[in-house]
Amino acid sequence: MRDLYGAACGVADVILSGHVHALEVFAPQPGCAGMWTAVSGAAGEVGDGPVGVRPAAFAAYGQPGFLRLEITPDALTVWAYTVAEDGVVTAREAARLRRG
Amino acid sequence: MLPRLRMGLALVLGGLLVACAPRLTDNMNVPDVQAGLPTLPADRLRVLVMGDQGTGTDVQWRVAAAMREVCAREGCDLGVGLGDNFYPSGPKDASSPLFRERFADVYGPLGVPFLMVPGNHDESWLVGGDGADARGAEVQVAYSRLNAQWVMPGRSYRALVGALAEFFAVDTAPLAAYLPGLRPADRPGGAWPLSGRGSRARCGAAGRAGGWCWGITRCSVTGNTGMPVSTTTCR
Repeated sequence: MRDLYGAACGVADVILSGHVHALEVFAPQPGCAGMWTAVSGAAGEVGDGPVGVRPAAFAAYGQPGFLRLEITPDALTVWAYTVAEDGVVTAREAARLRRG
Repeated sequence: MLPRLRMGLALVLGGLLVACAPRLTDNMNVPDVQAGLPTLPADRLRVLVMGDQGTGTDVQWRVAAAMREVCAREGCDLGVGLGDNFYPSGPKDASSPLFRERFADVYGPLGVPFLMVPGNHDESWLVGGDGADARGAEVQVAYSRLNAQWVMPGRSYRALVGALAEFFAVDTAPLAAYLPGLRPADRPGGAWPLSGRGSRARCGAAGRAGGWCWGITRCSVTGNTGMPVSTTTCR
């Protein structure tokens, strides 16, 4: 996986992944300036809380939900939506990136 | 106790089986597959991103209802599915009713195409989630020829949205596997992971035009939970 990340570094603006039953958005890490990471793995399964302390631009654990991207030529916005047991949806802006 | 025993037996059996198989590291040709998408907005694209959704539980249906609510209010043009499209194990045939029950019935009403990648549960062999049988990915590629809403023209592919955005999708489920791959080529260090090191992580036209480049993978190396931090389940 680190091989793929190394290859994607300098290529991708954002890597989207699941596997973790949470919502997480991370700014670029020291190993790869410029590449954000967004995790969306809570659309059918909910996991426990975090075990790490890596600073996140946004994180939601223990709640189902999904992400939504708004992409324009100049900016992209990552929205996070969590869904309560009664179906009430809470929207939060997780990250906003601008070109240049 | 029983699930632990079953998992233990599966690990032992899986280890014995793969130990007898030859290691294969020959180079594998990875075709540059382009996904065909309907015309999408090239000035403002709105994308749903979901993962680990295919449980068939109330949680899946509740989140899908929330997606419909948000899309009706804010708009959605495209979706991304990040794997574990089915629990505990993926369908073994493209005609399986699971595709209707866990995808078409649930997300069909959204009316947008989804760029899909498989997860370790989709590639189960002996135990749900073991990620050892990449034929599960091939079944999902076959289903993409039956339902245009399910976009997965290959185990890796690219999808272009004008000059605005390009997505490269890579089946990294073998790297999230709990058992060694049934086929040696799919194991870490095998032909599939090795051949994809650089060739699949790229954007073409969008990158040249200054658009946004997105990678779609099963797992991450950045996170705060045990799985991505550990390299034992996401190598």
